[in-house]
Amino acid sequence: MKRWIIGIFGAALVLSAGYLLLSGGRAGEMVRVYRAGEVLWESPLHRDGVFQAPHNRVEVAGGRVRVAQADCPDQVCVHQGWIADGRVPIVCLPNQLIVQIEEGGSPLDAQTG
Amino acid sequence: MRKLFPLFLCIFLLTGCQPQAYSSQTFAMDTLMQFTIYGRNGQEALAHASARIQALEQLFSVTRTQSETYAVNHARGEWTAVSAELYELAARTLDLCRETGGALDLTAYPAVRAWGFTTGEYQVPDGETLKELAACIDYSRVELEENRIRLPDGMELDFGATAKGYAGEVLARELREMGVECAILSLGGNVQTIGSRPTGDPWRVGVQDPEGEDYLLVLSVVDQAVVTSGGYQRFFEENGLRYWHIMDPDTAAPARSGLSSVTIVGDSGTLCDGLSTALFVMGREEAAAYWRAHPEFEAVLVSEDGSIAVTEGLEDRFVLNTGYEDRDVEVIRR
Repeated sequence: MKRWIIGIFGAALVLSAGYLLLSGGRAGEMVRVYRAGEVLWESPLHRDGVFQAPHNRVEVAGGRVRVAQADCPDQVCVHQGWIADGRVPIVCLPNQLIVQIEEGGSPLDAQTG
Repeated sequence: MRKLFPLFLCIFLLTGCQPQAYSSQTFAMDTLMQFTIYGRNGQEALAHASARIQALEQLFSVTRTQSETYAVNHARGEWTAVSAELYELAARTLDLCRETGGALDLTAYPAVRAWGFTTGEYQVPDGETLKELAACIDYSRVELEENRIRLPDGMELDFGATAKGYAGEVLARELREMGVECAILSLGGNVQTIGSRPTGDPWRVGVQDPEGEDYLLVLSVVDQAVVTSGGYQRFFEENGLRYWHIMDPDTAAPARSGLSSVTIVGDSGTLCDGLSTALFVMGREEAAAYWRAHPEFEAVLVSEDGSIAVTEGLEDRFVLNTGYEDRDVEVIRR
């Protein structure tokens, strides 16, 4: 009876460890696009794609995300380029847009900008 | 089983003792504010921080027509009574202007506007315009007395170089008084910390590579502020040349000192903020000399050629990011 229970727990451990290892540890990372606090769009980081927000085009490719095009005057969001983790978001202030990577942890607590 | 129970209880209690993290993300002072506060009263502390920031914005905004700063700038040379906070910020910013020999100048706003940084209508002003603008940049003509401010008609103040640092400093002071022991606040990239991480080790604050998308190095920070200024943060390009928002007060044009970014670490957010701009204008040699004469901060200077200089106090507090191990790092000593 005891061995049977141990066997099930053991198998569960091995299976979950295997899943985590095989998914490269980034299974949970999500790209989220916010506007005025609302989520406009979200997608797993590992899935390539394009999201056209009203004033900004958001591109996900190869595990990174960027604002590829925007109609704001200062283009700060476009100049920022690609981000690959959650340490800084991409912000388009005139359009109140925030693009960030979540649920992946970060090697940093903050970054100056 | 009986022997194991106390062990499980200890583990449960220890993990239960990790303080709860409370985070918020809001737009204020023309930028994104991201706050994370740890501890039982974190929610209350966040609410206080948010309200405080909104209130400070009402004082410091140079564009909002209801702000105190706007009133001072449109008083046509007359005295304007201001709040204690604005007076304090003005006094401390002016001190920095004097200490840095004008490398920081809080009257450079008309030049910033002339280049289009406030509207997004970028342009390169002609030589005559630049001379006129430079003539109106002079912090020594700003007068302060008894909670009133006056400056000549045609000149304008702006606190873009120190307001966020000051706001972070005020927030940290008030949150500490509320009993907050661990917090990390980012005011549009101006970082202000309280204490250390809940685990006891220092906060890990990254410094951006001015030329790329990754971070150059990580600084270990406890209870201090960290602020970076760099041309890469806001610029436009015309005819193959890049023009950025950090002006040289002497020329009313983007400061080209050979540095691509300056990061300041210190106890005072206001000082860190103002000096990050001033030392960017000064360039490496003058910045190193300034640091030797002023022991109350530490700095990371990144040059246009990619080389890095850190002041002595940061020698054991930084780690280069993977991929940057071959970068030249000079330690500036007293």
